[in-house]
Amino acid sequence: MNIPRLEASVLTDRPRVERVPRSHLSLELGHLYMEDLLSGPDALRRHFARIRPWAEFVLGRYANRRVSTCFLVDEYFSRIRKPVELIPELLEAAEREGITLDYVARESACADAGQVSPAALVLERVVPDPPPGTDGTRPPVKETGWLTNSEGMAGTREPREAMAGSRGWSPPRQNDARLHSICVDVQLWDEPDGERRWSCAFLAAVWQLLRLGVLRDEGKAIVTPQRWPREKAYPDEWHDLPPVVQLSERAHPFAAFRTMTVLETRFSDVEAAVRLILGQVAVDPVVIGQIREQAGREGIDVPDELVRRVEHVFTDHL
Amino acid sequence: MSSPTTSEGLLAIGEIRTGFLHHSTEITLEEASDLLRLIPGEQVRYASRPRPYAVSPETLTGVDCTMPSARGRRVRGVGTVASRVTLTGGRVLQSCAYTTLVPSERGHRLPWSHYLGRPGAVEYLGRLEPDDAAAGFAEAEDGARGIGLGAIAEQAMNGVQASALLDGGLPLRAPRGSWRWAFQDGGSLFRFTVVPDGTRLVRLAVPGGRVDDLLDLVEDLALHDWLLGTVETILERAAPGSGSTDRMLRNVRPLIGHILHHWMPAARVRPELLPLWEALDRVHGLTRQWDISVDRVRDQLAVDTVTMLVDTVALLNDTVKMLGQEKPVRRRG
Repeated sequence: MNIPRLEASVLTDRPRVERVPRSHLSLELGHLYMEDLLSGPDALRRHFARIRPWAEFVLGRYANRRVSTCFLVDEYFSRIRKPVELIPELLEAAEREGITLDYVARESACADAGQVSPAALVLERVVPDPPPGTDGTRPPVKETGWLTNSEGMAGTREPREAMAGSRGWSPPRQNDARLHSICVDVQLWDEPDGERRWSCAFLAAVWQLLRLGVLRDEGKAIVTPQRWPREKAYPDEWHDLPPVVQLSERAHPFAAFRTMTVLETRFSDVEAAVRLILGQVAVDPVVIGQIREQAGREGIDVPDELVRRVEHVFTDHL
Repeated sequence: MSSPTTSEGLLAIGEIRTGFLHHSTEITLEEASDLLRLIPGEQVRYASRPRPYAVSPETLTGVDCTMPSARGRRVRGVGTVASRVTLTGGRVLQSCAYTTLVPSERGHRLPWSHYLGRPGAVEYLGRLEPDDAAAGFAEAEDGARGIGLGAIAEQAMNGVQASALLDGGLPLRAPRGSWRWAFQDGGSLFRFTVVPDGTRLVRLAVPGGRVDDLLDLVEDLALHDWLLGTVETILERAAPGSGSTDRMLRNVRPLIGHILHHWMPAARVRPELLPLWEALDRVHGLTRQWDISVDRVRDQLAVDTVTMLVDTVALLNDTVKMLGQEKPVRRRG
């Protein structure tokens, strides 16, 4: 009798990671600080009137592709306006200008989305940019709440060197400098009353990652937009509102392969910090694989680098 | 983590550490998933057969340093090292830090996001000779290694051992096992060196192997080599045949309780790599030495049991005799 070739294998289970539907582009229709929103409905209408040509231009470029629009309400640092007043104002202002607003999100959800803190998850995925000479023998600098692109900046100087300050000045150096450096330090959080307060830049980076649909907790998507019926009144408190609210019935998916954010130039520092942070975040490789596969199926090109999926337009001629 | 084949990457290098989990009992798969969740929110993979095995998610460490070289060449490399921790049988902890060395397309350092887009790879800026780098890393005792993969593996292991979920107890004392390896694509090479501090160096060249699979293979070899080394150390300590039965039993009992049942060669090696495992085992003689050691433990236990029985019987006889002598005394009382 011939003995057949015997094969047996035991494989570890593959992680189950939720897939999310994706648009081609997530377009953010500008940003306003809470104090800007105090100026009332006229200010909002002016905002959308000025952003409209940009939105139309982008939508034209993405004709026949899926684009969803969104707006982030800045209510993490102050909550002077209530959702019950502000959201109808926003909707009305956008509608009057002929702009479809698909999703409204609250910034505090980037810090705390109920079951999970997206910001805390992102912090765990930061892989700091190593200065030349980093060979892995020294344990990574304990989290200081700062992230940098350079050596000789916040948190990277050895105590011995810091004390040598009086012996002369040595310039910081950008880790990937060619000839000259542009050194940037970004604060991610502080703890004023023993409680962690995330920086605006860090929350804005988390917001970009939510729009890219790359964050998971134990394989589950952490933010799922919830439909809000038109006739239903908005709550008095922001925390009674879902993290991301879907406003228009026929909206394309909230998450997208790429994001584009149109902003006034006064936000350029914050967004430079956002790009520095995004350049040092490594997300779950399974999610990256899923996106690659999804993009391949649709015949579109998605860069390997997360930060290159994020585009900004700065203009004051909104 | 993407798993490049060695052909894509020319050369993969890594270090493995093996030791007992600092906990007095074997832990369950559920506890292992909590313990190995190195990145909150990411998942631990596990299998319960043929024996419990759990793998942590991979973490990344950035490096920008000199690449290994046997001839002292100084080539700079920039990129990330992947590390993971595994737990076998709820008891044996292994950490591994590794990376694939690939040529840079540009010749100068790029923005950091570029390297995070290719996790687990270090791009070298300049001319690197894979043979020289592999030899510098995993052949010469004192070659210039440049990259601290050992330190990264140790940090990963120490991080787990420091977990509040563990009670710090040890079933028995055993030295930490240390392996350093280099895989190259193509050719056919297996060069195994043991350096005086006990570190094992392995150079392996096979055509078209996937780094993930070869890593499983070397991890499995390192695990069994460490089990064997631990049994031998304890047998030496127990000095069978010359020491007291009591001392022998005190030393050997934990071997039976904590070590012997973990021996399951090639349990998680891909079927197509089994012939390689077997060939390596033939050269290295792991299974042969293991069988001898286990036989020695069992023989010694048998001999000691017999000795103990003989002693007990003799003692009983003596007691019976004594009682016999005592009887008249009692009668007299």
